Amino acid sequence: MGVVKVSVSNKDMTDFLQKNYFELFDFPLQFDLSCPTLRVRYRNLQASVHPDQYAGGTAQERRLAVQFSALINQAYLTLKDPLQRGRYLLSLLDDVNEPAHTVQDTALLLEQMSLREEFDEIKKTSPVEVSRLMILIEKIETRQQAVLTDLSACFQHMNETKNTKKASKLLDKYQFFSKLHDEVLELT
Amino acid sequence: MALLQITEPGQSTTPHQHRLSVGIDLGTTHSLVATIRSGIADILPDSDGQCLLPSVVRYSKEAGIEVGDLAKAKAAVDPLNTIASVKRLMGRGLADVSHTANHLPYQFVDADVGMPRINTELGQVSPVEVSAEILKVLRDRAQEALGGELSGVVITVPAYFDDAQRQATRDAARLAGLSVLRLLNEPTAAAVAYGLEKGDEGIHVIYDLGGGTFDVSILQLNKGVFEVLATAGDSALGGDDMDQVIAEWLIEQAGLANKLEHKLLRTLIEQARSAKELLTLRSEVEIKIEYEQISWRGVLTREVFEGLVMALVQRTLLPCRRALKDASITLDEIKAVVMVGGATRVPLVRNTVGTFFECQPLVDLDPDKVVALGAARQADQLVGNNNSAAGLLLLDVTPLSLGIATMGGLVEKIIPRNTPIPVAKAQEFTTFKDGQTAMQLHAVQGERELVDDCRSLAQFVLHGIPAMVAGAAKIKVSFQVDADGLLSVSAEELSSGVQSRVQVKPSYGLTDDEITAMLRDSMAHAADDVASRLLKEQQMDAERLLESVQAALAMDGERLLEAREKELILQAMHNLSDNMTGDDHLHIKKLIATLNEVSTTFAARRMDSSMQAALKGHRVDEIDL
Repeated sequence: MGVVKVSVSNKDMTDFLQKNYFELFDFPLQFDLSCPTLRVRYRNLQASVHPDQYAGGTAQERRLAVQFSALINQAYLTLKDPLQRGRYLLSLLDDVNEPAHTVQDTALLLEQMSLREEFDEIKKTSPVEVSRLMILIEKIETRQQAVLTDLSACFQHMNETKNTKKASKLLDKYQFFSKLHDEVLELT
Repeated sequence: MALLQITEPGQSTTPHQHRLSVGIDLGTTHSLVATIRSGIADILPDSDGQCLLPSVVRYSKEAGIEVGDLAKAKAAVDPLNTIASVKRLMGRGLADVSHTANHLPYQFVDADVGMPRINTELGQVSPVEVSAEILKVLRDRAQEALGGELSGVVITVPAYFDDAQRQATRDAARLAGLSVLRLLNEPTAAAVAYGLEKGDEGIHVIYDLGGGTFDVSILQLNKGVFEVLATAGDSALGGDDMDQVIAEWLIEQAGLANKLEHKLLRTLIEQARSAKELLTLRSEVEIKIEYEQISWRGVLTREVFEGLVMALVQRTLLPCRRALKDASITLDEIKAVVMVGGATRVPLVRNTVGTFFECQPLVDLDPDKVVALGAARQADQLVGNNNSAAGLLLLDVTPLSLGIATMGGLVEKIIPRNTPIPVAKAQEFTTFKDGQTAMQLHAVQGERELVDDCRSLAQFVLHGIPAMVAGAAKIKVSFQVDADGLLSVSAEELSSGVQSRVQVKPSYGLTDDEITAMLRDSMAHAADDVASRLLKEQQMDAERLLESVQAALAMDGERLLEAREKELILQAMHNLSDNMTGDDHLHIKKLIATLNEVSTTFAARRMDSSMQAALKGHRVDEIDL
């Protein structure tokens, strides 16, 4: 099988591919960002590098356009989702990547169990009791929102506290709620 | 061929030439070709003024290859040699089509592997070749109408087409001698035609029920930007299936179950189709079957018809629901639902969709033409005719998840469905045995967790992994999907740097050798010469490349290049330009590669600079959020 390495040296790629996703979109290195602004910048960046803009270009230009455009897409997806954004930001702030840790927050564990139980009960109803489902969805969304607020505060004070552990825990918490949210929506 | 004049940067280049381009809707039941003339998108009709070319091809000794109405007229009398709805067979293996194939009046060649081939009087033909015949007719129609050779075409495919089906479509275009600028998803094409015509903005749903495929896409329209938020569908569901259930009803009513043969089946399906069409306006139709000794007469009411097809129409709602969820939008955010595809003329479809989305679906554009018109717009833009600053930007997604088979027949998803394309993603895997030096990689597409339930795209082996204990090797598998939705996969062992790369060639596609052989055959018939064709291709490539580097130099040469770098590029340009009239296509190819190489840095800097500019401009744009 032929092995062909087709890549451009980093020097040639200028510094764009070296930038982190926040820099790529010209956002400061922080958790809070405006989603409408993100969308507009996404469109503008794609308008400048999308392969369609280089359809008549040289083979190199077309290949580079695919690479650049894919990078913008990846950055956009990461920044758009609070969970991915938080994890990514954490990886930039915290040099030492912590190994996976177990959740020890008893209050959270109890809450998770009670929500899961509630969900399981609704699942057993036939036909599914939509009104109960809606109440559960609202409950989960309220919790998600609260964790987001905590996350935002936690990241804002990161410079003084350096408390990456706390942020990481909050992200795990957020992940639980958003996973459950997806599962519940699947029932509707 | 005129030699290209190489001017110094800063001087104006030659005035822009209008390039000929078309958009082609290669449909299950019929195909169309459209172009942009004086800024207006137009369907190109045949010499009789017909816009729709039936997607039917007949291979017979008496008449050779016939395409369109001529072939369609013979479908009932010569069913074995007349191939209709070939799109349903594209990129499919025999096993995939066997349930459909039982209904199809063709003789499939019993091949062990590879794509299905159909026996005809003129020999075996593959679905790709049949599609290429349809494309050739449209190509000739366009070149005659526009008076010149086409620079490039955009061909539409159902958004829900998988990699194999897309690749097969590209192969067909190559066989027809067309240069494909882009494969464009049909609902996205429809959105472009619709959005540009109406100047509409906001979130739109495109519900596209064609002859053999169903797509639903949710798009955000914003100042020339068409961003697909999610797409879903069923690549084996369409108006054809309605005809099938009506035909089955006829068989039952008329007691024909044990009299079935190809000719009768084809006649029944034709009658079913026309009954379906008549029932869009009438409440009942009379059906007469006269076939050899059989004579039957009956009435099909709209009520009975709707009862027959209800389940099919309901089946379209599942993808609709999935798309809404993937786009994470609610019904009240939807500005309009646009109906595309001939089967959306059925009143039951319109009512069902209207009820589901809680709004009156829009039916004011011709559902048969809108896809080709949108494709023509993009083709015009891609060949560089539309230079307006507010150009089109189409941001599409992958319809199906892409993954790698892992131990135990499970799929590890690498790129989830509805990810914006182009996209590049990598994941690390490891060895499971001590001293393992090779690893089999199997790329699959689909939503299911088991490999066997997904579509197999490609298998390849990464050799030369240094022997290590199990789990120590780090194998990085990278997936890249380009703007056509086509996948390429590469794998690398990180500690040793051993690499392997494949352009995914579906198991049911044609190999490069097969295509070359077919091209050679077709040229032998046309008394053409392969070498001259290759030479011409290289010369056209050379010309295009010179033009584009020239334009880039004129625009950014001073700003982004040092004198020495510019000198290198100019030298390579002169070299190519001086030699491109020669008759050695390999030499020209080499010079093209050289010019490409020396201008790579320049290309990267230009792209970088254009991104910087896009970001600088954002503060202005963001004011009117």
